[in-house]
Amino acid sequence: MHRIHPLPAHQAPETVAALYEAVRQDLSLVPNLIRTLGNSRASLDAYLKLYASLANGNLPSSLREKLALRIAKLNGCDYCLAIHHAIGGMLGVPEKELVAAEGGLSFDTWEQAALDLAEAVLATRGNVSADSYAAATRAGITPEDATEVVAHVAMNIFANYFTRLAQTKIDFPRNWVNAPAAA
Amino acid sequence: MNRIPIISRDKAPSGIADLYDAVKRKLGLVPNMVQVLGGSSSGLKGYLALSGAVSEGTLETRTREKIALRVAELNDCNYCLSAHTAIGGLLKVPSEELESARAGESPDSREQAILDLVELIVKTRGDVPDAILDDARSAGVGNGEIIEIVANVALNLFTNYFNRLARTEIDFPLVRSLETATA
Repeated sequence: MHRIHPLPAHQAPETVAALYEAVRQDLSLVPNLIRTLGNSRASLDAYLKLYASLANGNLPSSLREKLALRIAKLNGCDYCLAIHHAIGGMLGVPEKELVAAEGGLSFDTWEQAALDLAEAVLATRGNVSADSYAAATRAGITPEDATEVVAHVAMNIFANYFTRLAQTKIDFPRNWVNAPAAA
Repeated sequence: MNRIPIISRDKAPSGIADLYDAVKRKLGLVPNMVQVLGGSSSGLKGYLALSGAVSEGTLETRTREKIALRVAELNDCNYCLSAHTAIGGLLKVPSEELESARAGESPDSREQAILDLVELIVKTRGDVPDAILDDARSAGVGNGEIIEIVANVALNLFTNYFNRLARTEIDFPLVRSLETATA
């Protein structure tokens, strides 16, 4: 199943185990994605630092999860779809909004523009047309927002490509948050 | 002409100016890309954290520059080709080797396996064929390094997509992608 196996905490070097523990405190579990990245301390550190920086950006957490779902969908990453449905649920985003985001849709104009821009960035590898960029600007996407959107595309590509390469096993159900005290 | 503006040091908030200074101490200059990212505090911090952490891995610096050149070539990013050709020169990598790397070739069999894996990661969005992964492993590339290679691909997709979106003005001796040069 896995092409690269997760590295369990008890086999991991101390610095890697400490990173796992930080994730556990945030999410209450250490996803296979993290434990598989743990085979490369530098890469796990890189992913977590990028994640932490973007968590302090302008884009709200609900939109960040929606971007993650859309990008995972476009990249065919089932693992990332599962994890971001779970985290989106944990944040209280209604399931129908998560499903809509996966399909590239939002009920909010600004969020819609961010999703459209992310899709255009992926489809054109950044070479977004003048029309698409102008549409985003009209909908209130600032240059700062656009920069953050690209950063999210890159971070999600990291997780998408990595879990596709490693064939990381999905370790919680989509409705994990609703499962009563699961495991 | 940039589509996302440069934030020069005198207009940047102090936190951003400090980051520019840190880049300048390391590279001797603050590339336009960094000053364009500077419009987003989280975007710039995210990029620098990602790039700093990835550089702490076990892949050799010159191999990482070759990966950067190959990915930039595949994504037709002239800004990144120009920047990484200049950095590769500073690292004393012969210019013929830098040119071969852009075409995905290396005189070294292990580096060749790495460049082949990079190309497939980009082209299959991570879903690389077993045979390519086996080739990399036979050439002595371990799991940790395979993960680092994915991290380097993500790092370079970040800058490729960002510079293509931002239309960052090139502030290194111009190198055009084979795609652009022949178009």
